[in-house]
Amino acid sequence: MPEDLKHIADDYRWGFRDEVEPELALKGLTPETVRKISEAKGEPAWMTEFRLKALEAFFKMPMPKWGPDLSALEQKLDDFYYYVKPPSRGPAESWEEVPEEIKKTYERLGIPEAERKVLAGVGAQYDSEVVYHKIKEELEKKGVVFVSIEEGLKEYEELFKKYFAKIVPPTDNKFAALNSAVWSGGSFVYVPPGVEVEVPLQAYFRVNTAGFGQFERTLIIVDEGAKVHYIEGCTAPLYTTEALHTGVIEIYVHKNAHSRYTTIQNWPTNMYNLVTQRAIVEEGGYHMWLDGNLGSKVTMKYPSSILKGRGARSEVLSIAFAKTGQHLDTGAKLIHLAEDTSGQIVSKSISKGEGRSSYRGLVKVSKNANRARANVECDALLIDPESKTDTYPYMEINNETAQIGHEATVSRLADDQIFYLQTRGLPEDEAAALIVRGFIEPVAKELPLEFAVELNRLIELEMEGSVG
Amino acid sequence: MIDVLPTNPEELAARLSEPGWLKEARTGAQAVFEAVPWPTRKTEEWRYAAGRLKEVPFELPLALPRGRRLSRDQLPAGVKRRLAEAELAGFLVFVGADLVYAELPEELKAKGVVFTSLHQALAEHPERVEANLYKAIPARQKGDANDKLPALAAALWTHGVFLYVPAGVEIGGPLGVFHVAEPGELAIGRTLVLLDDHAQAAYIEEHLSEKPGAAVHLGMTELFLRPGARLAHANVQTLNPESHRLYRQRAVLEKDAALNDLMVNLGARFARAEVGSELVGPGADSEMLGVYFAAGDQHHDHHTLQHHVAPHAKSDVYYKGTAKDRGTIVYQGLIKLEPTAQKTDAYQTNRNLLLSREASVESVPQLEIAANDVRCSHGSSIAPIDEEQLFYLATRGIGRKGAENLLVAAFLEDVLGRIALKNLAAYLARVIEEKVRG
Amino acid sequence: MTNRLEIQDLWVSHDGQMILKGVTLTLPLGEVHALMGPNGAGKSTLGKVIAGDPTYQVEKGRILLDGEEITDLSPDERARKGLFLAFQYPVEVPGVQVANFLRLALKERLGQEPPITEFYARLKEAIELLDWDEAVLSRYLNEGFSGGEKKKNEILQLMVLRPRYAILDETDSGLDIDALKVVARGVNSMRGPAFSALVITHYQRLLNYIVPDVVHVMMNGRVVKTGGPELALELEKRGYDWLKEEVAGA
Repeated sequence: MPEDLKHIADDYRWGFRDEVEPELALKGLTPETVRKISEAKGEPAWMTEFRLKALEAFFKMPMPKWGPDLSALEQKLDDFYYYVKPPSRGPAESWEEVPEEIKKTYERLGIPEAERKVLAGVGAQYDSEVVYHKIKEELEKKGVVFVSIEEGLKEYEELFKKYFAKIVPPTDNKFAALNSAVWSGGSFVYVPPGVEVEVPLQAYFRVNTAGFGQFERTLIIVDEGAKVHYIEGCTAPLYTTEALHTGVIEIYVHKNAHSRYTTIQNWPTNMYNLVTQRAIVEEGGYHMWLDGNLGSKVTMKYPSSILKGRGARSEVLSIAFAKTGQHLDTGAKLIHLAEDTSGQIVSKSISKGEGRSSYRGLVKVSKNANRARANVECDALLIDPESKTDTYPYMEINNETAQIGHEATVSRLADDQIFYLQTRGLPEDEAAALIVRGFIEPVAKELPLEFAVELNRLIELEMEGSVG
Repeated sequence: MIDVLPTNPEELAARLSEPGWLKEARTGAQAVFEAVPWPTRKTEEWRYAAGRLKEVPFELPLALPRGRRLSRDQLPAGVKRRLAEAELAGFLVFVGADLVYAELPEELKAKGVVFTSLHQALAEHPERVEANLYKAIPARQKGDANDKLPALAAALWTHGVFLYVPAGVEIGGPLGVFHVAEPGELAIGRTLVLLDDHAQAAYIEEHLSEKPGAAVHLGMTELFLRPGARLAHANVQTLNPESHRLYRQRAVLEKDAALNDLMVNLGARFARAEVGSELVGPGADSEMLGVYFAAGDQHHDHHTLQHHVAPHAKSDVYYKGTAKDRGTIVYQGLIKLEPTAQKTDAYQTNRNLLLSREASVESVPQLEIAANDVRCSHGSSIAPIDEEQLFYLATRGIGRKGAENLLVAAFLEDVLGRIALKNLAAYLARVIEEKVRG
Repeated sequence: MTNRLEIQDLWVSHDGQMILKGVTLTLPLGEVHALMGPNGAGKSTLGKVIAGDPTYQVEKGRILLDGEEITDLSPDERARKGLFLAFQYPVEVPGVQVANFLRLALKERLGQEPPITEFYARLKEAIELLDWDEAVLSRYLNEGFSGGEKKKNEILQLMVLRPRYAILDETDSGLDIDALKVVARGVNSMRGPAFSALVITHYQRLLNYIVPDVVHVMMNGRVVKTGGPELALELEKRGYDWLKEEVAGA
């Protein structure tokens, strides 16, 4: 193992690291790296071509000039590992087949337990390769596909090709281009017409190599009248060097289909987290993005819904918690292309210490989107005098029948609230934690139970000794 | 768009008999102008207006003072009409770059009030002008495309207004300034208002056209409010629909100073207003109102800045407007709180009413908050005229035009109600009504 | 016998202004006292200072609970020792459900997770007595509550947390007569040898329903008169002016 893969720091909750030697590790951003990734995955020629073109686009596009400072990242793009293949025997079908070392890691992550509770299937990603994957039999019987993105390309190439990169083309933005060139890992989901998946599909991701950027790619297709809830959780050990995560999530919600994508990222605070998430929603369809951002050094993520069909609806609910050293630049986009489309954005952010949270959003109503409606609510809570928050909502309205509203508030932890709760016997930091939990409640109540519990625990931890 | 200045600033300074420091400031601004690029669609503050900026005929000849004077009877008809109803305590009239007429009661002069052209003030109160000119709007701020127009204005302004109100003096009735645009000219003006400690004044600046034909007006207004000063300020443009108007205003508010500001855009083909308040003293209060109405092919573009530096200050932006035909309206606003601005109250509201299918609106209210013990909020809305209300009024026999007029008036009622200059509010209500009917 | 709340020569300032100027008052456990007085007398300040409001500065004097000095304790420490303040203006805490909040507060009060059955029994009993609906338990704490509901919610908390010493700060203000009766019923249900209340009020009206053992009158930052329930009636009849004169003359 190269020397720079051996750094480890212990003080992060998930900060354990497994002694697993990777089989193949590709560093640096070159066409050679891209070709090797494609080759290692045994991809068809069109995909190799696609990747190389995307890499070209990446080099041509400038770094974003707005938002968080990415200059440090730009300097070290060549130092990251763009592909790491762990020494496993490939996807395992059952828990027993998973290597002991890796199993231990998952046990610490609580995955088997979670599975026993609510999981329909687990696509657990260990570095770039999916080593453990399971789908309940009844889902398979209904024709639901829930596999790794690589398997999706291999086994369902026609379907894959029809949607892949159609929602987020490589040229969409610089980091979508990067992901398109080096993507590895992620999920491929297809829900056939009329099938309702009652239990959420979950995938756990874990980055396990220092300096290694994770480039997962997920493609979800919800066919007519179908219903699905996909959950992704992200967590990674802490490394002494900065890391990069650049994901692309594409979701196609067909006529009258219903989908929900939930993700909570708790990356360590030296991670650049630059993600493109976009859904296209057809007539009568509904899509919800539920987005939690707790970790990372810098996050830039603006889940988007393109309301393409008449009456399509979308909701984006998000929570951000920025602490000292973090700049979380998150938001949402609603693009109304058709009549009677409607959307709702609720964003709750908390800044603590010198943390900075920014909301950046867009509501766009095109000429033909008669009677489009959208409502945006952004609330920021500031804990300390040094805490920062920004709000940048864009509204571009080209139809006179649209009804669009945006409201934002900035408030701080109020002394009178703390005093009130204290007179009921709650210690000061518990009172503060309770107020913070209350503040995010409108979004948190939509979270799956185990996420909500974890979030509450985290807030309590963060608020300990934070006031007074 | 021009890449080099059409007039040499040194020659201009000589021609206008200006002091050396001003000549240097002009040539310094020239260097900035030549160094920074024109704003483009990629310049954040210009993303919705860069297209219109390209159409502005900056190559028109620069309006230079020609020594014209008029008697009160000879004043342009539009100005006389406004004078008849405006109840002004004193006023100045500019035609092109010439101050053609001035009127200020002896009583105010005796109290030390100075209300004259900027060049006159340069001759009579050089130190006051030198100490303040360019201080709120320097030629160079960030060294980017946003400096292009301030640099052009700093290098080539040819005429302007100077108002000084000494400490403790209260003027009472409003002072007015009328700028009558001359077609075929590029007019560049500046306004400098200084209110000393606890002084009070009301100031209205109106820009109008007497004749058809394209003209460009580039204006920079600097307002300085010393501790406890109170200013009601309004800038109203009703230029002809071929004109272009580019305007920037910065107010600096010291301790307990209070500003009631109004920006009105009704005319011009392209009108852009950048209105900002710097709250540098505790207890300062800046109320910033805006009213606009874009019809035909008009584009009205508004930018507000509430920059809080001191603690315990308050600012409140309320911009409201409407668009019909192919009119486009833009509002971009920023509340910026420095870490020193604890106990701030800052609010920002933008409301838009669309009256036609081709009209469009872009609204971007923004917050950048770096202090935690603050109350800040902003809201923005875009809505059509309420069809149910129209129907209700129709059943009472009120036709579409009349009903629209009624509903637009109702929509603008609250912002007009907050204008400190009541007389002006009544005038605006009338102009807006004409515009809905037209 | 130290079972009492004692205020000894308490001087308190706020923003540099002296508001309490030597308050002395004793509330033995098991008794209900009324604290009356004109507006601005310092009644509400006294209530908040006893509860530990950090925005007030204690310049001099002591507060003792069962013989132990609590003057420098934080508000939550006082609460855990059995003190309770029903706020004149209860604070809204959005997103925090009433039931969840009460469970947390009771856990702190008991030092352990309350048995779930007992907790719900307490809730149910209180809600029935207050003529309320269980739906209130899932509402957010005071958010969107009417003035009357907020006051009722204070009494609900009182009944569930079961403090030994309660201060009711103008709980009657803004209530109609029916709501007043409901609130009084709640407080009366708590009465007994292990419960005391200091009922702060401007009017005698509430004291028809919560009959006090002792009435104190405050004026200008001090307790100027102490008597039986008849004192409240006298004040209702004659106003405060005669007392002002009496104090001035003394």
